[in-house]
Amino acid sequence: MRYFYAGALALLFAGCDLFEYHPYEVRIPDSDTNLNAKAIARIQQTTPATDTLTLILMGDTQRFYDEVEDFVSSANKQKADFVMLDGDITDFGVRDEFEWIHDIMRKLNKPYLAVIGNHDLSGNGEKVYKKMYGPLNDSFLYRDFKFILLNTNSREYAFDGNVPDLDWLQKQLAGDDFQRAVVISHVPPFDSDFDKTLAAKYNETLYSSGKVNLSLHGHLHAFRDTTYNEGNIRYLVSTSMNERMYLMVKLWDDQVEFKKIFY
Amino acid sequence: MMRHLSIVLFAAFVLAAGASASAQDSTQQSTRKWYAPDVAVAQYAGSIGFVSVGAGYSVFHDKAYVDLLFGYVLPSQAGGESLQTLTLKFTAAPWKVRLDERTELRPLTIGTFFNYTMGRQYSSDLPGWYPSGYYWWSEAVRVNIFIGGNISRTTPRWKNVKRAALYYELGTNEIKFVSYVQNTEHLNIWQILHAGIGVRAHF
Repeated sequence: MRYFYAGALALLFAGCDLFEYHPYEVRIPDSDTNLNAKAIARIQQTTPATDTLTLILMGDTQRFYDEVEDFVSSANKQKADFVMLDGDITDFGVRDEFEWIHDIMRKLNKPYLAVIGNHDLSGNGEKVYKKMYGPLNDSFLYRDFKFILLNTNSREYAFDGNVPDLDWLQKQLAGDDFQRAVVISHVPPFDSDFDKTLAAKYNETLYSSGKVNLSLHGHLHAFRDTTYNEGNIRYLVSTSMNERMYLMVKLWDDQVEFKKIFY
Repeated sequence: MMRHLSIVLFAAFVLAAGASASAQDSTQQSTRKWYAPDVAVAQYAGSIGFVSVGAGYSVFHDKAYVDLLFGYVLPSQAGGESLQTLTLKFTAAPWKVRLDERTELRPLTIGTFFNYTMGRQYSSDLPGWYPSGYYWWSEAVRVNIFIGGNISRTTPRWKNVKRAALYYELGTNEIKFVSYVQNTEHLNIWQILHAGIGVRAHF
């Protein structure tokens, strides 16, 4: 009988991932690494059926697991090229939370990418994000578009003037292998968590490139649609998942059209 | 600074434990200083380190334990840089079952511990460039609750060790717990639990 209990206990420990070394550990299975790069490869393999490109913009998933589950069922019924999770994947930046969200999001029937949010930078979150999703600033080409993922969580870097990295952004926008570009980041430039010494320059970097008229965000937990500055850059902010809403964003030539979907 | 101070204090504590252990083998219980720990601890996992070592006391006639542990996570397990932690742990072990004259089972222990992760990048309270209340939790301090059990044995063949216990713990911390209570449909209780096993040697 004693051996039975010992055996049952050993099985229990081996079977569940129970032996945690630390909430901030970065032990990630290979299948859950480089998720953005893997998603980009899938996106680039698809052949477009129409001239219009559709992306789903979803906001903060932090601690809203039940709602993210419902989001996935809703998004799976939509026709879209890919899903963009616009930061604050987690609340505390711990490995378990990243895994819990990915376990739900992997059920999507289309590729998804995630941008880094301020909450994801708490604790050891930056290292977990890099291992699971990839570089904090990243970009990819799809059809005539370049999509640029940018870290705009300035407050997490004590407003040191390096976040967002506008020199990098400018170089990304200088290429000639695309017609239009869309910049996706967590904190919008009109929020107090965005370095206010860089906010105007961010807007200027976009419109002086002549290729951008759309900047996508999360963070506010509320919907916003605004062109607050010169150059007519449109800023779209999607809600957090507890609001049970996401945006279907359609892009063709230099046109932008979006629809709110409630689920 | 805080980190160095913590390590020095911890080292002093463990040295006191070591000194009391070596003093023990020839002399009486009464010669031990009241503050000298009477237990050495080594633990695997349990959310405080890959491996942790420390010292502690048995109090209330061995019905409760107080332990201080230093935990270490290898750089390869933490994204390139090691993690070092200090843990202050309180365990209640009120029930005892004697299996034979040398073996005791504590079927249920209940406890709490505070885990402090060292390093300036893990702030204990919110740095000045955040508005107050911006984040409600501390990056450096985790509060855990756990249940567990242990089985202990003694043998006259051991010179310095009066008794050795093998224990396990199963618990969670405040940030996983708050994630769970808001998402009981999606998360199940096993996803927020973590386990550790260890040995406690009584001198």
